[in-house]
Amino acid sequence: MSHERPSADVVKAPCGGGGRGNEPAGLSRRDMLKYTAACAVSAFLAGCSGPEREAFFQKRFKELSPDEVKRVLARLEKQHSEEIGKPVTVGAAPALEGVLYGYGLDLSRCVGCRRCVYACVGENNQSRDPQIHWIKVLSMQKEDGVDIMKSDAYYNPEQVPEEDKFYMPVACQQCRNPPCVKACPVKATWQEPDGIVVIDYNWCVGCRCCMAACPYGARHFNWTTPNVPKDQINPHMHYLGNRPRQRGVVEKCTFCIQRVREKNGRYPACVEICPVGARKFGNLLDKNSEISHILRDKRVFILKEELSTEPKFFYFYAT
Amino acid sequence: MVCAISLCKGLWKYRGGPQLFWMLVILASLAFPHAADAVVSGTPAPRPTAATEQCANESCHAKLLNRKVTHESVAQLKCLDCHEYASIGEHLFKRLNAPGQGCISCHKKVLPKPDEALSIHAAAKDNCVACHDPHGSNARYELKQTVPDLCLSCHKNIKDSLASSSLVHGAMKPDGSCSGCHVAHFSKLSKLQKEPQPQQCLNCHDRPVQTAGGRTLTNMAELLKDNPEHHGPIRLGACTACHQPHAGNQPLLLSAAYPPEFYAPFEMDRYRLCFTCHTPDLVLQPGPTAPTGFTDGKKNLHWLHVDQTKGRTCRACHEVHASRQAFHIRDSVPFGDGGWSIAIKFTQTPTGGTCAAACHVERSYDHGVRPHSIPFVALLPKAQALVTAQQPMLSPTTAPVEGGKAVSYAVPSPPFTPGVFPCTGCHDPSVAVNTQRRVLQKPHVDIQLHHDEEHRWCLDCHNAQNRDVLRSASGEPIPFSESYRLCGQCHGLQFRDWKVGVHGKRTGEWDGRKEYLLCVNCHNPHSPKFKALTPLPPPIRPNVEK
Amino acid sequence: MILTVLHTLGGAARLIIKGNKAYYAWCALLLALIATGAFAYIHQLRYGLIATHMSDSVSWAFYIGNFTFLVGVAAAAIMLVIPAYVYHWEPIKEVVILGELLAISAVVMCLLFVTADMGRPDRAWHMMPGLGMLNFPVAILAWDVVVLNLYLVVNLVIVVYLLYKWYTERPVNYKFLWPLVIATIPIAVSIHTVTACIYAGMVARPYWNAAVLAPRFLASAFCSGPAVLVILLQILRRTTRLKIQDAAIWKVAELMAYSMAMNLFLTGMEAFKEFYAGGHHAVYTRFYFIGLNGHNGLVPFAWLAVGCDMVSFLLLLIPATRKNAITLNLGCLLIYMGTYIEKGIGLLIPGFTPDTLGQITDYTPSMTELGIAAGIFSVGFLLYTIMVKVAVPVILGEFKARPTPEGAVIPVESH
Repeated sequence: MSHERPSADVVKAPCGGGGRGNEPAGLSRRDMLKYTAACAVSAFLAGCSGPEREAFFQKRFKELSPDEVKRVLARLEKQHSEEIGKPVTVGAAPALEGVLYGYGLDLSRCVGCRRCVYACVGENNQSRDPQIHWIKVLSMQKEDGVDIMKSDAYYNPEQVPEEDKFYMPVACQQCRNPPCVKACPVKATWQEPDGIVVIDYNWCVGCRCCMAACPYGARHFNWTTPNVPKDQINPHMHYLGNRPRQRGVVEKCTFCIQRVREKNGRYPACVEICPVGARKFGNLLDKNSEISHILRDKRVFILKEELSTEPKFFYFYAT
Repeated sequence: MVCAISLCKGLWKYRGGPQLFWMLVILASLAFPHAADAVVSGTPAPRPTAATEQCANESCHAKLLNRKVTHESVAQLKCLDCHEYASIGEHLFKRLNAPGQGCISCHKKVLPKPDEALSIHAAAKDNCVACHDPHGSNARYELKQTVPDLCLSCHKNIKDSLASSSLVHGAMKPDGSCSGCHVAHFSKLSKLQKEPQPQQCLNCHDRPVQTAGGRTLTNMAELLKDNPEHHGPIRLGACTACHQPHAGNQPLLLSAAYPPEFYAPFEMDRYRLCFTCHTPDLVLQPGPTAPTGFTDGKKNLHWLHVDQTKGRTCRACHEVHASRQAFHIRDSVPFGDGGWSIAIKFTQTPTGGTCAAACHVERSYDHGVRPHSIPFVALLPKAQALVTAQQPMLSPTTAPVEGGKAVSYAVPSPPFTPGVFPCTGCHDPSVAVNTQRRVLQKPHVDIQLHHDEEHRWCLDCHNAQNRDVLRSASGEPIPFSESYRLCGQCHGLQFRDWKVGVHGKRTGEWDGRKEYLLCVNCHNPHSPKFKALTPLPPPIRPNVEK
Repeated sequence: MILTVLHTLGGAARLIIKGNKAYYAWCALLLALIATGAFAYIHQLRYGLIATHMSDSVSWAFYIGNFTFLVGVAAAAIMLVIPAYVYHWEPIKEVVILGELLAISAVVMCLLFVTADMGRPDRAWHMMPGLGMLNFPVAILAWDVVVLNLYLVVNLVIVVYLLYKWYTERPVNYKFLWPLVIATIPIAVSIHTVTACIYAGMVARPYWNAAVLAPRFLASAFCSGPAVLVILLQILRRTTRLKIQDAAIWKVAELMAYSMAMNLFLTGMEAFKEFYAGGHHAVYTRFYFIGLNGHNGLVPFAWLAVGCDMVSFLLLLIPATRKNAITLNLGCLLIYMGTYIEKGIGLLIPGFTPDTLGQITDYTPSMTELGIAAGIFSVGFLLYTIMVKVAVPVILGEFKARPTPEGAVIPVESH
């Protein structure tokens, strides 16, 4: 059988003798067990290079020590820089303290132009073919109100907005009570202290339970190796965010974790692009943030509130 | 002939030969008139129907090559870089001048990128050949004439003022003078200025300059360096607020009257210059309501100081350019004819100040809470326009945020059509305002009012008295950079939301420096409803036939 | 010791190799299908799950549908132990063994289907407790991993223990065995319940998010699992010397009719709730039974399943048809077909159509999916065939550790 490893995070480098150079002196029992138990798979991996093996044996992100995180990030930076042919940075900035992100979307302003969809694709290195869109813009009849079952995601008129329609972009709602996190059998997805639900692409097994569990269609699967033209790759990456994904793993919106966790925090790409200013973002714990003003002063609703997922993504009507 | 006939016969015998034969016959008959034409007219060589390197041969366009400066395409005989056939088969050509063609297709940097320029030379936009000869000329840059003659051939007002004025700015004298201060195509500054003032002026005035009249002008660079308290126009980069840049009749090229002698009695007309910016109330109102901080709460102390007869006026206490003391108060006052001078020692306090013994015994004043600097509202419209016009592109100004952190938000400047501002560039304040409602004419034909047009019209928002500012409903002047105050008068809810970041677009940092947009950056103030957009492509349906 | 083991294996191998033409043809067919499946799986490994027709909208489909159905088969196979125990059927040990073997094959198929569905099968070790990080007890899939493997292990222990004892002709320690056999019953219930809970626990999918789902699962499993066994027992009765009373088979068929009644009742209640109340959540049921905006590919299957269920219910309920070999087997086949459509297609696809954002994506399995599924089923059938081929002679005492004189070992009788 020809074993083509279904993996995208592989550098075809010659097999380095001796594996990891900076391995700790003594292996823990647990590690030992791991290495032994994975022997069969090692045979499967015969001929794989050091980084490939390292990626295979990598622990879950939350279990990594700070030193190990550094090593993993360095490995990824080297690997992606070589693949893309330009330097990339892969960060792992932790959550800022005293921050809980919230998002507001003004349904009375959105014109359904889909600028946000493609800004998101570019910022977050989503696969172009097969196509992955983290944001889906639904058009709805004004006379029906917010009725998802009568919505259309594939509308394509000459001009928007259309007279009798309104538009509702949907992406990850960053639930406080996320059903997707509950569904994951290997804890490959979790909620960060700043409220962002993230995925460890190196730990996900691709069972897609989370996709079935998500009420908002926010999770997307890499049905094959994602394809992003090299010159369009955003080299500013976060481990839990927009770094290139591998085949066979799930991905989702992270509120542009690589932007919002910077010092002072940039706005997510969709907020920056929106030509009508319908998208609002900020810290729910800061009572002067835009999002706090919206929650105080505006008519706000959350999508599928009856499911008690408690989204931190708020739809509102400014007028 | 025999050959031709036998050839035809041979051709006729082959399969498909007849068709070929008739085709040749038709072709020949089509060519005949031209051949006949050539023979009849007796022209030895017909004019070429295709542009080749022969365009510039001796008998035709040779003179194009005999210029001091030749356009590169001409020198290389690449005529088709700029010309195209108007009609195939005739010697008819036309200029390539559709959008994206013509000069701009090679000279890409002549026009600015969006938002790169505040002013664009009108001629540069679509009429390069107004100044340049596209083949070549005897002046540099293939200009049709030398500078300044070329410039003055259009800018008649300056030509006239040069002719009629008693004083001409020294910078206007040398050849190519205009280009000393102006650029030819576009600038990030108004009026195609090369560098921002005062730097532009200080390029020459960084040394004592001898005038034609034998006067020695101060080394202004040194003066400004040594004296940190600068007069407002200098701070705002507007030497031209007081001085004419080209020519004038007032001493020192001042743009309005200002007496040369130190003690000249106070008459408004003699001090016109000062009161183009400052409101005369500063001096004329005796009471504490005068718009100035120089008050003890009972009297306007400016009014007290200025003496109509003795000639104690503005300059008795203030330096015109800069000094070392607050409010550019001068260091000393000349006294008598003996070359004496009395020192002034002004000490500023949080709510007032003290003048130590000099002209009078030490006296103090306390205005309570009045602002120290002359408040904005005390400036006349010209000064406000000055402030607006001198704002560099995208400079951070402060948008008001209620209850928020004290952060300054960057707001881009109003989206003026390049070159349109300041409005007083065209709207001469001395011409009476036409308050008739009417369809606008050139150059404002592009403005069609779809903004509550039944009830509103231009002068509800634009200030008829001073075109460089807007006006509130109550008539208060509002600079273009604060137009949101005007919009907010009607759109109160949106204004409230905008101030806290809920209405309109925010970019930058969610926890740091935010960039706001003015209302008019998104909404055309004359037609504020959003134009429809073309949506980006819909997602691809998950295709079963993968 | 090693020699003994080798000797035993050799004997078993000989049993497996020998057979009549029909047996060889059957095995050849299965091997051919397995090869097809293997090639299809290599294709899928090379190109990724894009080789399937699943999409972000319909993110689980044919594989998981088959998985669900087979969990039912696995659970129900062991459920035969209950009537056998309650009614004191004579060939109880045979029935138990055959049920256990069916359960084992079904669970193996389940695991293979799950593996085929995984995006990263190379990371399966992430699920192993101790090695990886099993999200137990929060994730229902983690429960499923636990109970399925537990079920597999318990069944293997029972089967191996019994066969070993019989093979070596030693007395069976029922004090050890019976608790295990009894324990398989709740575990069998739990594997199907837990699998149902994976679906029922999803607040995002109203089609599944119903309390009736687990009972429905069990009811339909209680028809489909025994249906396989009823047919199987008849085949074995003919091809081996295994004695199975008609009464036992009829009893099983009668019980199947009752659980089918339960299944129909519960399905009817679901349909009533959706169609009568007509709320938002009815769209999925409408899509399945009526079609939605012209998307009606599943409608024929839906009604076919209902028809199969109804007819088989009547066939098995009426004593005359129940006791007639032809109508009995027809009933079993119809049950099999009906529940296969219900679980394999009718459960998964409408659950995802329309998707959570109201978009409809049509799904039909790709050739790769069909190939892999055929391969996996063949692996299961082959496994079962081989195990039965060895187990039956052991049960009948024809294959023993100390064979009585040469020639006395009677291989499976040719038919």
